Amino acid sequence: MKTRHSPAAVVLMLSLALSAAGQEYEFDLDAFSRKPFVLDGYLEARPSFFLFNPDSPFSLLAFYDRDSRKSMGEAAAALLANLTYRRGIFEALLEPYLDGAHSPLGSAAGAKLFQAYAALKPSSSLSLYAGKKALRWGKGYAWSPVAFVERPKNPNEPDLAREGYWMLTADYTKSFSGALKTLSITPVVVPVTGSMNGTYGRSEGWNFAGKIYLLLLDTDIDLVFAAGKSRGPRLGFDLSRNILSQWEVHGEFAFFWDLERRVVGADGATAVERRDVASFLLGMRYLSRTETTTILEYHHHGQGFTRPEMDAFAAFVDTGYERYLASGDDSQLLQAADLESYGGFTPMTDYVFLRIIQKDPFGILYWTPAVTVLCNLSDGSASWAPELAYTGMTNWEWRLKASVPTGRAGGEFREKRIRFRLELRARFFF
Amino acid sequence: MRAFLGTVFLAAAAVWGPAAAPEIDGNAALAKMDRNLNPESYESYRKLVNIEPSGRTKEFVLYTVKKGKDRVAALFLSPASEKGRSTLRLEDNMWLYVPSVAKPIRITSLQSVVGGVFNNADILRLDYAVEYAAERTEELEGDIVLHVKARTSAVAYDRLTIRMDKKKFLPLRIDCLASSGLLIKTLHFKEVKDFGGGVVRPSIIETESPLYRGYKSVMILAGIKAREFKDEVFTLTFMPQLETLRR
Repeated sequence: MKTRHSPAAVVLMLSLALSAAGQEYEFDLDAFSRKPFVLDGYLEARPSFFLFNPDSPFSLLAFYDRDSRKSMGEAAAALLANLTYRRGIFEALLEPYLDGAHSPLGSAAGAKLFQAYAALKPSSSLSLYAGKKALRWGKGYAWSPVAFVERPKNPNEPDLAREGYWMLTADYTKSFSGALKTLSITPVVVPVTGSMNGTYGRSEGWNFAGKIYLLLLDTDIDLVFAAGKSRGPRLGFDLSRNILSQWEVHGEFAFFWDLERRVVGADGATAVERRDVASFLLGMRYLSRTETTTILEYHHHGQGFTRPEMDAFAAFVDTGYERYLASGDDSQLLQAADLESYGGFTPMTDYVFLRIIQKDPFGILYWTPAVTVLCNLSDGSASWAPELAYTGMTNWEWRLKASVPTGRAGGEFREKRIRFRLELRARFFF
Repeated sequence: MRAFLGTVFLAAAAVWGPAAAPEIDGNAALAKMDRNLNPESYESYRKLVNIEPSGRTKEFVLYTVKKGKDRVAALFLSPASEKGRSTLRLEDNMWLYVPSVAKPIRITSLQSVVGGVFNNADILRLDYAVEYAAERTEELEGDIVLHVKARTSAVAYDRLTIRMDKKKFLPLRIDCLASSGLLIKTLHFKEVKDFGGGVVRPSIIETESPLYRGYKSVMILAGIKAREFKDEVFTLTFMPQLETLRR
């Protein structure tokens, strides 16, 4: 085994007595030498308890042909692994994700490859990638309208890892002195075939996207575009800047041409409509002297549904359910279930996201209480999610999180399938 | 004539008179201390140890690279829960990259990345002389005491009181103060070691804070080496690739 550190560095395996505390600390640099193969990731257990809303259209879609339930416990587990190989300028990454859940409704398990790519990194300025890669564009925390080559983000859990797309991509970066400090160019090619990237768009063919990043006048700026056979063209920009050292502001704007949307029409029939829409986001992050972080974002979702459109969908489900009860014909319910956009994370047009995180409250390390509020401005309904995280055990992360909807009856969050959720998430990192 | 004689007398007194105690140039002393602590461009490894009142500890290991006056980046190597996190500072701009989030977000110097007494400003510290200007100096029991003030409001601590070894120009103790004069934390520099390449400096920094009573944090340094890096290493695009710099 080749020693990677010089003899002097090995001698610097510090075994240092702290006279005041009488404690001894070792710092063995060889234990942190760079290795060609690295395996890391996490194993997660996620027991949870739900109270259902039996009158929700989404409950009708989920439970119309089985016993309706008022409450349920669920045991879920997941594994995310990263296997990295690095040698010289070559790098390869394999990131599988396995998950499973068991509840009185049954058991389910799944496996996905979040990322799987090979890369060449000939210099600190240039990287070339081929394979399945998760890109993360945009400055928004809960939403990112300019994330043109990504799967949708869950605003309730924006930090979760997500599956990427198969692509060819590269990063070229150049630094400068002066007002423009950094310029990065990221071209992306996304092929869509019958067996590859099927969720990117319905039509098969080549798709192209790109991002130009600038650090200009201490402001992060991204200019982005995407076009091709599978989706209509789209163009956007984002920016982020500290207006005070503890106060960051950010924004995103995206314009979509020929965007496809499946809706329930006024006549009660489903239809596909195409239109040009704009989406944008305005946000800020503020850190107080007491380590309280506040994240506030407003999102206008151009392709979102209006209140009358959501009401039309609820009526469509109701009539479908009545037809099922009367005749056993569930075709309309299946048709409604196929309209996935209505049941998406935030399917309507205008939302506000607020998250307040208190690090080390009262000077007690590793305990982090937080509360997240997601509010639909169209109907005033909201989801409140208080949580408490503990990271005091090395390589363990514990989090207890509840979620409660508020607002008037008929509001989006009051009409969700779950009206109370309590989840304990225990993660072990390796 | 009298004026001429007076000038001659003053000149003679200046040349032959008793030597006055030399005044310490605070900014020069600060710059000298910086160069003694580390080369201007370097790589290093640090272990942070948070010690709880119960004696329980939590350790973090970081790899750090710095270039010139205003570029520094750090990568967490351990524990597994933090591995791959990196932080970047370019002048007063700071970003944090978390692998699961996979995009850098802007952070501030006061924010604590790991929890505990150390914050980003300690982890992504530039040279003291870049961030602070000397206000006054004094001597105390044979040591230099420097009172310095932040050059901009973006710096985490408004004022520092630095007690420095007068012969070695190495820090012994630094008190970090808020603009109100409130003591935020105290750093104690211990165990001077020869790291090679002319770097001889304290290898342990103990930190305590009245804001975290009973807690203590210790930073242990190793592998400090002068090294040059390309400017592109200190960019958002390179944050996920900092690991490739390690040899």
